[in-house]
Amino acid sequence: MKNILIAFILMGMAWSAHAENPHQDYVEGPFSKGTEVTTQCVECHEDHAKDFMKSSHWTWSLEQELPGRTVKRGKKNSINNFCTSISGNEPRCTSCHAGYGWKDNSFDFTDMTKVDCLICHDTTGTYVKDPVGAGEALAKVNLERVAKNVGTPVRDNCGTCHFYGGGGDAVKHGDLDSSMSYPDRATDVHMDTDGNDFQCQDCHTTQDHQITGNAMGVSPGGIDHIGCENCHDKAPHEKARLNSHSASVACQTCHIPFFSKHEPTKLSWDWSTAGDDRPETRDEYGKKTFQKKKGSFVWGKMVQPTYAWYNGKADAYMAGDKMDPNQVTKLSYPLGSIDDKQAKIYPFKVHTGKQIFDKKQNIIITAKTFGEGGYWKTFDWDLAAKLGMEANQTMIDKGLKYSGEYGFAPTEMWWRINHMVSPKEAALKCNDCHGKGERMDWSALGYDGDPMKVKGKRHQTQ
Amino acid sequence: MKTLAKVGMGIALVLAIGAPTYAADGGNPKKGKHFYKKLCKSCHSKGQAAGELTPMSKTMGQWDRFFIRNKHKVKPDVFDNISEQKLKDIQQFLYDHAADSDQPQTCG
Repeated sequence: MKNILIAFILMGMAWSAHAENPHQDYVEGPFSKGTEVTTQCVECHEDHAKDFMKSSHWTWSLEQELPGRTVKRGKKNSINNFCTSISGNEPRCTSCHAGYGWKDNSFDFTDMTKVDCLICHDTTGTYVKDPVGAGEALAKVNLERVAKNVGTPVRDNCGTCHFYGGGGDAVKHGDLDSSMSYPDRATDVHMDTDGNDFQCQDCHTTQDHQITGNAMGVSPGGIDHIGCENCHDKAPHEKARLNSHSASVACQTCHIPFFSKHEPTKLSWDWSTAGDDRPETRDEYGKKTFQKKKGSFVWGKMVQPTYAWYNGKADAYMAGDKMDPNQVTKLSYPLGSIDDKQAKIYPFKVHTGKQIFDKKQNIIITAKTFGEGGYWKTFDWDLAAKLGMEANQTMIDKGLKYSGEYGFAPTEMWWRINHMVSPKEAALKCNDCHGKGERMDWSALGYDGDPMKVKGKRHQTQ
Repeated sequence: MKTLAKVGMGIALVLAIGAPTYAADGGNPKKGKHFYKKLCKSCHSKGQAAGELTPMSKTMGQWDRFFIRNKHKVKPDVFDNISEQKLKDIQQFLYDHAADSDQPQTCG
């Protein structure tokens, strides 16, 4: 009996050591800050940290080619028409940086103990960054438990930031939101939890912590696209007519008929009404349509994409570029036309807006909205413009300061739609575009009319 | 000796199973939410015979007791057909958003 008892006790002890994850044995807590965890991680994973520090998840900047110029661009210095820019607003925006402590321009990008390993490798589902803490974890997180249970990323990890870009669920992308954490087949045929159950990295193949894929807003010059043809044949349809379309029409165009299938996404943000003393309003989805701090919004659900020619390259407005306030300034947009053999008709989310610009210099202003002196506390655009421009390294380098006069100008930002691929039975049919179908604006695309009915301009594919 | 052995066996079993001594521990609440919606809501939605159940339907302590002691005894095969890890995940989610938690949720 004694022997049995000892055997049971030993078994119990061995089991309770939870040796299934080797980090259970190596990691030693307790930890009070994320950097303390990283200090232990790099004892074994120094090379991984070094690789990671070359990636845009760390630098928030990539060297890339735009028409006529080579630029360094990323979340670090690009201007969008949501919260517009991170300059001066870092503690809020950098809550999505895979690092700790990026509070201002003095952040040390060479300090590997500032890498946040846990945001991508947490498997407990309990690791949460402070939304206004410059990337630090919330104090309530049990860092030891998270560190002892690290593992391969799943959709939840990537989604922590990529589903919530713009400060909330579904705000920015349109094709990435919380519904993609555990989607069903109708939401995404590749990630369907009861089907293929793809994780992000199944398509965004990754080597040495360099994750493939480029979003148009931050990396318009990026050519590191994920192609459907990485897995599928070039001519995958049974019907030749459908295959012949693939020279001019991207797969996504027919196979992603709608985005924002479950969560409403922001389609427009007008900053010019911010500061108005009127009550908050909400739309049919319960989303705010006016907020004194931020202005007016338009939201959409089950949105039909906007279609345009796209040859795989894009252009963008860079901080300090001259703009014409009487025209819509395109902050990021696809390149290509009906005359471009490489181009295909591709689906986009177009986010429109009105945002602050400098009336004397005709440049878009990067205003400080968050924190001390920021617009959300002072409702003073002059002060916000001055502080934001002074905090923007690009503006400093170019010698640009706020002139003292501001206005609001229309802007547009184009987002590629690549996710939320529908099952084939829900793909677009001939008559969605041709005949009475109204999906395509043929004249905007450069045709003389529906090419099935009207002779005239054609896309030259040879 | 017999009594001592029984006590010892009891302790050993607790260690072997690693039974949580408090609150849903070791579950992934994000996965738990998904499994709750997929596995529980099919019967526990409004208008269903089993009656609506949301995280807010119980307190943290009540959820723990439900998962540790009750184990869905009205219909035990329901829990028998769900893996231990999934149950932990569901328990964690329900506990984290119980009526007396920091973030009570009705979940949908």
